[in-house]
This record gives sequence, structure tokens and C-alpha cells, in this order.
Amino acid sequence: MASRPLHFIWLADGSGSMRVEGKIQALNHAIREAIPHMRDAAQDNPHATVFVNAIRFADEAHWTGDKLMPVSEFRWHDIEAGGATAMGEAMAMVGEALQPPLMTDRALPPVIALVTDGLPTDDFQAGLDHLMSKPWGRKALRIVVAIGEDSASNEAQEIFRAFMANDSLRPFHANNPEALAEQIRWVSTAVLKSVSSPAGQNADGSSGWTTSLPLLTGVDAVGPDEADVW
Amino acid sequence: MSKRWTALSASVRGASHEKNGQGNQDAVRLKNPSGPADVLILALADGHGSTRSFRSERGSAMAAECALRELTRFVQRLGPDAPLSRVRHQAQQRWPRDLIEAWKKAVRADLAARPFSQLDFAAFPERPPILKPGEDLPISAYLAYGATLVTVAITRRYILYSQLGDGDILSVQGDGFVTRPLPRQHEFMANQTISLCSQDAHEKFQVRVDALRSPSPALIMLSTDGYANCFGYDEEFYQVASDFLDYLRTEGTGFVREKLEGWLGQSSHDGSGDDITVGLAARANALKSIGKSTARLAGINPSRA
Repeated sequence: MASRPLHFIWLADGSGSMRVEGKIQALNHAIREAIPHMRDAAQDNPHATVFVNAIRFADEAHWTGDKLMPVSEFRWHDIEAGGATAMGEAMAMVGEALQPPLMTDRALPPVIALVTDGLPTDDFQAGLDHLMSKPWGRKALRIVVAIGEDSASNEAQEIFRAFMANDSLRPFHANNPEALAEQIRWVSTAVLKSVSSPAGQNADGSSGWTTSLPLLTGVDAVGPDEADVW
Repeated sequence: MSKRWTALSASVRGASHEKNGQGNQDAVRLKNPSGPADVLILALADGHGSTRSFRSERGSAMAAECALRELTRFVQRLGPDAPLSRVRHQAQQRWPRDLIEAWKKAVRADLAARPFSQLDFAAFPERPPILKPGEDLPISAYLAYGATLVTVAITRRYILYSQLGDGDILSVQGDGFVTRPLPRQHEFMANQTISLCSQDAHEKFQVRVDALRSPSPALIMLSTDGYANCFGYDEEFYQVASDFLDYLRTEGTGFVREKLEGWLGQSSHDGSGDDITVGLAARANALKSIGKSTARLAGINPSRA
């Protein structure tokens, strides 16, 4: 007997701008702190086997570890900030991975969580097109944790909307380390839990997870405005 | 005269559905032949169980009922000696339309007795659909009852397989070799499927008619997708079908009938967590005992079940 595999993929921005105001330290801390919560969420559902992996993108995009890492063994290795923002390359890379042998027909919809503070410096659209050309890329739950003021610009929001490609979703926004930790923890637990326990099949043309995720409008940003540091 | 084929089935509520209080969204109906000239029919339906398909438990029961009734009529209407070319043509053209029409009629009858309430549609942007004389219902009404369907009808001369949406039909030869009479549709992943409520559903049926001649299958296994999702790979899933044949031969149909529900419950618990329904149609003269079973049912320990 086998439970159904669920792949959770972080796309973590390691560009130079993440060095400003301690954003990269906050990102490293937030994801590291969220891992035990992910494990707890995964343990609650024995019918799904959760795998976690990550891509860091800066001048180039790279997997940070094994692509098939059970959540129980996943460790977050702090990433450094420096260089450009090869977000498009990261999209293409995850699209390449979301195929057999990593993905089987019986997998649950994967989760792709983009954590970034700004705009891509490469051909984002080409990368996104590649991701969306893959069946599992289209069926994935694609969410965004946007960091700082720059990520609230119209241009950035347009990019995020294109990535999520779902009117019922909006990016989770974080303007300080506490808010980032809160958003990352929520993505790591509530989202993971919902996707690993699909409420049923969908025959209305929607993605596999939408009707089972009433929470996907996100959580309110944590902390008062004056606490904003980014 | 003895029967040429025997059918048995079981359906269990998913382990995760037990946890969240959801009922079994699967349904199964079977008709065993009364004699060698009579038809065997197995129909398995799988209700979507999603937020939008809040009446799919009823919808799947209606689907299995309608399939049993309409397939019986279909076979009777063609008669025992219809040329296979005609059977194939009618199976492609007529059977899906008859089934969809019957299911939609059953949905409308159910809605007449139990109209949607405002609360039923509180989470959705549109108002609850209302049944009006002479007007068809919108898709959202049928989606509330949405279900997929797999069926088989075995007559004296042919086997008619049909499928709409996810689920599996496996055919096991006497030597244990397993095939799929209908090709697997890989687009049914991430819990997405087409179903009885889909637009132009009658055009999306997979249908196949095989002449019943040697080598005909020893066993045909139908299952809802919760069963295949308990296995990492097709090969493991195929093994379980072969194991069923082994058990039927060595331990008998009574043993398998008695144990089947327990095995499926264990599979749901250890595997997908989903509702599981299995229907088995075994050819009587292929069930001659071959000695003690070596079957393992892909991880199920029969002594535990």
C-alpha cells in the first residue's frame, strides 16, 4: 500500500535586494521555523507522503538539495543573497521537475510557493510558459509570499497574478520579519493540510485543489503599519 | 444449467471520510446472470464529494442504478443474435446517450422532491438552480450530483466495457496476465475528472465491445479511483487483480466475498484514504482450483482482514 505523494516546492529569492534590511535572514529564519509545523501537518494525514524541496534563484536558479526529500528529513540550509533575480529560470526548472519520474499520475497536486521581494531580471514569461506547458505545472497550487514595499508595485502584482493564474488567490504580503514568519508558517501548514486532504474530485474545470481550499484568500498581515521595515 | 460468469462486489467508506464525517460517495450495483444465456452487469459510480458536488452520494447511487437498468435494456433491445458491428455501433452511439438521459432524469426527479436551498448555494456566486417545466437545468445543478462511472456487461457472445471519467477496468487472463481493455486517460490527475455532469458527457465515454471467444478473460475487475490510488505504480495495482483471481481459484468465491470489504477497508486505511469500491466478474470455468494460494493482495495480509 502507498499513500499519495505531495510535492511542496519553495522558490526562494536569493537576489541582491534580499540583503537589504535583513530580508534574507528573515526568510531563512521563517522557513526554518516552519519546517516542524510542516512535519506536524504532514503527520496529521497518513494518506499523503509529503516531499519538500527548494530552488534558490539569483543570477541563476539551483535546487538547494535532493528533489525527492521526505518532509521528515528536510533541512533548510540558509541561503545567501546576491546577484540578479532569475525568477523565470526558476519557473522553468520547477516545470522540468514536475514530470515523471518525480511525478506519477497518482500524486496530489503539488504546491509551488514563490517567496520574493521584487521583479525578475530574466525572461519571466518564457519560464512561466514552460512551467505552464507541463500538466503538473498547470495543476499545481501556485502561491506567492511577497516581501516588502517593492513587491506591492503594479508591475510585481501583475507578475504574481500571472504566476498564480487564479482569480480567487492573492499574494500574501509581508512587510516585517514577524509578518513573513506568520505567512510562511500559514503557507507551510494550512495550505499543505488542505492540499493533502482533497475534499473530492472536480468536474467543473477547476484545478484539483480550488474547491477544497476556502482559506486561500490568505491571512491578514501581522503587525501594525508602523512595524513595517521593508 | 450452471452460470458462465459470477459477479461480486464490495464498497467501503474511505478512512479519511470516516475522519471528517463524510459518507461513502461510491455506489455499486450488480446483476448476476440467472442462467447461461442471461447477462451479467456490474456498474460502479464514484461521487465527486467536493464542495460543489454536495449531493454526489445520491448522484453516484443514481448513476449505478441507471447504468444497471439501461445496460439491461440495451442488451435486451439488441437481442441475442445481433451482429457485433451493430452492437459496437449502438454501444458507441446509443448507450452513452441513454445513460446520460436516464441519470439527468433521475437528478431532476430528486430535485423535484428536494429542491436546493439558499444555504446549499451560500458559498457560491450563483443562486440555487430551480427546476422549471420544459427547461433543462444548468450544469451547476448536475454538478451537485456529479459522479464518474465504470461498467461492464457480459452476454453469451460479447463483453461491453464502458467508462466515463476516472476509475479502472482491468482484465485478467487465465495465466494472470493483466491488461486494460480501455486505455488509461492520464489527464485524470490531481483529482480532476470528467463525469456524468460534464458538458457533452455522452461524447466522452470510452466504450469497447469484445467478442467473447478464446482467450476470454478469466476475471474482470472494476474499481473506483480510490483503489488504484493506494498503489504507487500500475504494476502493483495489476498484481492485486491477479491476486484476486488466485484467491477465487484457491479459496472460492464465498471466501473472497466474505473478505473483500475488510481488504478494501485496510487498503483505504493504509493507502489513499478514499472510498473504495471493487466489482469482480469471474468466468466460472476459469476458476478451477490450482492449489494453495500464493496471492498476497499487494500488501494485504488476509489473516488480518
